[in-house]
Amino acid sequence: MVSGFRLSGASRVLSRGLMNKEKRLANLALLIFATLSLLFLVLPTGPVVGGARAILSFATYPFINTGENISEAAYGIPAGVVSLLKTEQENRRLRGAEKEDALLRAQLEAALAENRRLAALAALAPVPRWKGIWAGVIERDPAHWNSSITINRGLRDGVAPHDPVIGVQNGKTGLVGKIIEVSRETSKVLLMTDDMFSVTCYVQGRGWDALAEGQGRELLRLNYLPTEAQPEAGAEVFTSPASVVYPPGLSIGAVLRVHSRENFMTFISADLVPTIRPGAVKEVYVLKKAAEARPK
Amino acid sequence: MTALRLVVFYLACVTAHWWVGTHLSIAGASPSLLLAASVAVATLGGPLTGHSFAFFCGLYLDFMSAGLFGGYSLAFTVCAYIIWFFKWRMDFAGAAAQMALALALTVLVGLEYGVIGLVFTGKLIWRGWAYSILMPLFTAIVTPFLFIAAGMLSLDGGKRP
Repeated sequence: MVSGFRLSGASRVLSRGLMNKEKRLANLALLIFATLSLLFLVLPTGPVVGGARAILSFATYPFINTGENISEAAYGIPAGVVSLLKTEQENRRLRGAEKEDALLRAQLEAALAENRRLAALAALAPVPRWKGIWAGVIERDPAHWNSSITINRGLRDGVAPHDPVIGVQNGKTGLVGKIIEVSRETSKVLLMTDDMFSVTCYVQGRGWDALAEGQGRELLRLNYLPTEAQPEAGAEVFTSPASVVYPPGLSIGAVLRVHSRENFMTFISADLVPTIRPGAVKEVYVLKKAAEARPK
Repeated sequence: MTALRLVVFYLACVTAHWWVGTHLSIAGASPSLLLAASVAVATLGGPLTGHSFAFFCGLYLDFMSAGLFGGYSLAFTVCAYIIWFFKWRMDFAGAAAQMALALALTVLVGLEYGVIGLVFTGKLIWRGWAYSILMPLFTAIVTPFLFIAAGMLSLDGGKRP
């Protein structure tokens, strides 16, 4: 009985030792990982964060790329069958349309040449032609739905940070955002609806200059409109020639409503509906930098 | 061997999280498979396993977002600690308890991330009501399945403190 009690006591001491070890381990793990996280938060652009991002990029993107390719192939099967059935019909229609397109292209070339001549006469900077690359959206997390997307083009395809990204939706071309991070095969696009995004712009017709800013939701904010400006609902807003990053004349959105001016404010603001809804974009066009695309 | 299994499980969760988020979101929300997996591993594994798995899951979300880098990893690590603290005091063997745990922790992560945003950027990060309500519900629904998957890893549950 006595020896049994002694054994039980020794076992209890051993167990308590293990418990304390476990507790110390949990506290230590919390301390290490919380400190690392805080370091990442405090040093967002340092080599520590850069290294962590690079490691994660190399570790995870191959899986995501493979997954995207498999998804595309799987989604493409029914569409491919339908497409095969429609191809013959479409071919016939396109043969006719091709002749009309050739005429239109000739007209467009003439208009561009005329535009260049007039621009030279007026001593204006030539408007560069858009040159770039199509990219598919491979990642869009609902946690940052209006903030960023990842596309399947990267350094290998000539994508560089700050390249403008545009899209086509319902037959309209418009701004989507800009490249903020590039890896070898993928890039991250900061959407224009992100609250860190802003672009100089002008309102169609009257030419009021303003600043379009993201708000972290679907609508954009048009700020710094002159107080006399009263844009009508539906007025389209374009990127300004003053913008360094974006080509001029690119549609940003349309005015939804103008906010009444507060007494203490020296400007008025308005809500904008983006031309391209970032939440629905599946494919984008990454423009190469204007300097490279400018005709020689 | 367990470490290797954990790495494979992590990569599978990352890929699944990406696929569900990109292709299966409903009303702008989808389950956070990474949070559900973190909850499962932190409950079934020891403190070091749980904390490190949660940290790396958070780090992936940080990597994918354009905002605060380190916010999710901090929030997930704190969650792992909370799970370790409570796992010996509560029974998380049943699916209902696992769902309730995931629901509470998803809301907590949202709040933590909001507060971290407030501290580091001066803005409270708020994803909207639809996302804030639906995401925890979806995450809670998938959590028992992640417990089953994590159970196959034969994790060492640690000693009772």
